[in-house]
Amino acid sequence: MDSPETDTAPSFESIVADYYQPLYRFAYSLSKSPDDASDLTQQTFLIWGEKGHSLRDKSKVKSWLFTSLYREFLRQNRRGQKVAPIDQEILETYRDPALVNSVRKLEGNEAMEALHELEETYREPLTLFYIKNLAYKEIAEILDIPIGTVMSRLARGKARLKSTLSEKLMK
Amino acid sequence: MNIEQIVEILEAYRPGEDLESDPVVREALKAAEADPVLARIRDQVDEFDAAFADAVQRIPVPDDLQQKILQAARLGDLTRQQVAPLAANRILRWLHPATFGIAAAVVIMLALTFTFWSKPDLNESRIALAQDPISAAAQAVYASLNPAFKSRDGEKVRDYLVSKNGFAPETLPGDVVWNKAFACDVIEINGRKVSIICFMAPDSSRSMHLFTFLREEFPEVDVPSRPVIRRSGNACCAQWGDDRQIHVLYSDKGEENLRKILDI
Repeated sequence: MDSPETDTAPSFESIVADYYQPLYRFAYSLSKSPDDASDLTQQTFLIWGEKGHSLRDKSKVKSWLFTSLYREFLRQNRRGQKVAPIDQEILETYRDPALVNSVRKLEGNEAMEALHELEETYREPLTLFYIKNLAYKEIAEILDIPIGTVMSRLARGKARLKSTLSEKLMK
Repeated sequence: MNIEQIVEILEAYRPGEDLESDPVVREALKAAEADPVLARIRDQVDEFDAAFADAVQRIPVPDDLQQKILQAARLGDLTRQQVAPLAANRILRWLHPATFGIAAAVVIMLALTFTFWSKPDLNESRIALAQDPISAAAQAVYASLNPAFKSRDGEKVRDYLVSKNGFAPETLPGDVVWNKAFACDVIEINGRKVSIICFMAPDSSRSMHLFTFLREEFPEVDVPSRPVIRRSGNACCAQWGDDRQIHVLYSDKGEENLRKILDI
């Protein structure tokens, strides 16, 4: 999915083609609404059209776009974040080998529904982790949190995601 | 390190992130190599991640989203490639987003000599007013408005417009515009020419901006023959035209002056 990253400035059209889908999916995971996700995605490219020129390092287009989308979402939806610790119950999900097989058959919308059931604290890094394979450093920049926090939220978020999926799919 | 801590690290671990430099991560990976249960957990983490990443890639994206983004960009003049200057080294400098900051500084400097010039308000409502290609093109210009020519003499403003092959409005009371004109420009946006005239409102309280397009360049757009006013917040615009020209008249502060000028 990643596009070649060079020092030459990519065209607006190629940037849209490369990133509108993962940006939409990230927006969808944040907003929980397809319409809001479309608006957020379009707004992100509007922002790029107005301010993207200021990005000197063209290899950072991807994280710039995700960061802009995330900030725009935050601007529209101010809220606090809480982090909960991992618990023993979640570890039980690792003893369920059938879960992976079920996930392999998961539809896209079902995946998004599962993400939507997570707290925002976990949903944000997890979505970035899965949708575009962003580096941890990039995720940290986008969410404006330390890499260590990215890692702990990923770990706990994944554990909760598995628990959620396990409940849904293994009934 | 207990099992919960190790599992948390295994969940967060991804090769290529240079995490192995952390002794805690190294210890967890070592434990996973030595313990078959932990090794299995690590395998399951990888398998789950791959499976769920595939599922996420199947999240549907609206078919027309890419088209909408590009269409909005074309209408809204979001890219440098879509703006062609009529005069070299001039319009691009202020239209290109790269110089918005510089343009702002220039506006401040200009204010010292053209105290009657002020940049239009940039507010969210301008988006709401862009309901067709003409309004959208006008909005794009309006958003970064910094006309090339400014003068206290309305006649000179008109002369400049004519010298640049701009087109003066034919259906607006000419005296109203030129008597109060203080700036103008002629540019191309998406290959379409537009004349810009900035003038003071009849009561001299606000600046107003008139954009005139050639009708033949927008054959697909329905244009009312009599001015139709749209309003969003304090921003409002009137659009009308005939078989030769299309006009969009803007005001930042309400429609009263628009109605006065247009006699509606």
